[in-house]
Amino acid sequence: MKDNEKKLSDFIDCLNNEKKPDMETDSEELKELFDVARKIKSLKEPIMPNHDFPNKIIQNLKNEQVAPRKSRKKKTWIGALVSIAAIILIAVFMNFVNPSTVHIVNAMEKSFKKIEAYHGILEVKSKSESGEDQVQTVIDVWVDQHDNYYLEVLEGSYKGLKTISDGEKVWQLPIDENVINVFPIFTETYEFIFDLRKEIEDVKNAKEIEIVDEEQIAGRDTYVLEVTPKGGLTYTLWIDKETNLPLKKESALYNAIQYTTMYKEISIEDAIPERLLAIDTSKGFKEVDLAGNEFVEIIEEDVDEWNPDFVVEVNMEIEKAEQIAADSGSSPWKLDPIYVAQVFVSLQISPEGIVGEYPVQYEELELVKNDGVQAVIEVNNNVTDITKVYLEKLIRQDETGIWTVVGYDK
Amino acid sequence: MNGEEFKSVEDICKHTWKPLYRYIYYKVQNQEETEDITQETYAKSLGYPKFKEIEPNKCIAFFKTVALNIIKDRWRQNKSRGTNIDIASIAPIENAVEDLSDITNEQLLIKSSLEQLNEDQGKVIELRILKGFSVSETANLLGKSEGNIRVLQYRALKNLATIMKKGGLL
Repeated sequence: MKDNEKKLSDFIDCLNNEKKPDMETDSEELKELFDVARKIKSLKEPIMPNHDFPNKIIQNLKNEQVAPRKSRKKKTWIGALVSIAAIILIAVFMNFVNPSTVHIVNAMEKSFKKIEAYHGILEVKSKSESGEDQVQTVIDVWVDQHDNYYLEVLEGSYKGLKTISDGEKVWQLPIDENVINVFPIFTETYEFIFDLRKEIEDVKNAKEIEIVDEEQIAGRDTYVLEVTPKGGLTYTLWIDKETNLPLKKESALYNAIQYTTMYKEISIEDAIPERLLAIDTSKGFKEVDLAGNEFVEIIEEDVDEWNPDFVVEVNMEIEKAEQIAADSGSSPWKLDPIYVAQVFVSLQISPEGIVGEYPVQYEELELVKNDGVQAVIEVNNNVTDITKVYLEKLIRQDETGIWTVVGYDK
Repeated sequence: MNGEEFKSVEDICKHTWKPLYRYIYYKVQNQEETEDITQETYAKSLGYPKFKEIEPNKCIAFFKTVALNIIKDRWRQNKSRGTNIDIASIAPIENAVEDLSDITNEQLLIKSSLEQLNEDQGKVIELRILKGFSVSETANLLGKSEGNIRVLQYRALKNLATIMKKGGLL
């Protein structure tokens, strides 16, 4: 019995690690339990292979054709030889679609620097796994090089909402008092989505970029790029061949939803019209403290050197999964170091789980250091003997990176 | 194989690999085996002499059927000595093509099966399989020993097997 318990546990570990499990057993009961474990795991989204997987398949089929049959023993599909062949194939393809990705990234940066401002109509669509499309929002977007922007929601649940930023402060003209300062389902009210500068930065900092196709969208010729960010899911980006600017972005399918963000229209402008940036508080404009701003606040104070008394062991696989979840809009609190610390300290007090209110209040935690990558939170609460919590952005070191507790003091 | 033929194989793969991969993954639930079986499915299917007679809109159904047979054969043999599918025997296409509604219904039944577990067992399954925690992490989170977690997960899956059998899932 104990042996079967271990075998079942090992089987689950293999599935969790996306490895082929050892299923060798004479026990019919155990075989049945393997099947049950698989069924439970099927509630999760599948882990998709690397973007070059279809190329590997094709290359292997080609190799199959040329390899003498008797030389083939056990089929080891993803071996060193295949990798080399796939690299060659990709290299050949990339030469064919000249210019190279490096050239495109440079061209994107150069082109963007020349732009004073741009105006576009941005459409965000979601697609379910069954292929059902739904327009989430349409936004009128004006952005300039001085970090000013004007966003007006034209369609969607926040229709009429206007957001204006002068690069430091943000004002909103709400459609409803309750809309402001709540964490919305969709991002248009607290984060400017598909900011070209940010998209170009993301491509520049990506772990991997590959030109996979050429396509015409909205009457424009584009390069299709597959971008794999550091610690995130691969997404697709369409770059206008003429302007070298991103036009469309398609996220990976996650939690059975895929988002497509696209500029249906875009034009280069000299400036944002002044009337759009005018803040008229008598009309209801309010300065807002958007959650995202709070997250990236940089605080440098004299704190002890980074030397926690206790180190918290981190499972990077779980963190990667959490980052992916946060990227797709789940668990936005993971982007807030104070909230992450609050959950951590609360769980130290109540390891069996938190029921009702947190034993440590958000207000009892003070952010004393935040350089954007590392943060220290001071705990001012008598219920716990934890005095400081140390956090780091382990997966991605920008404003989209999640915070992880790596240590604490008592 | 000349260039023209290879181009068509390329097209077939590029247009069908995603649904095929997802179908196989749904069955085997790990990336390594899925990639392996996807590759093997193409090799066997495209090597089938009558493959060209299959209508393009039925290609994916054919691939899924071949994949399902490879999976069954592997699990039956349960060894690493490869598979031996008689490709001719699997045409015409079997009912391997579960549509999304079938999968959704099955998932609803699985969720409802999970809800019938007691709290401890449900929590262990959630942490171990749905959240992917290791035995030691699960033990820490639940304040139990690792041995206890293994026993709990074994019993939970046994209970689930009984529930699923009643619900026609197994």
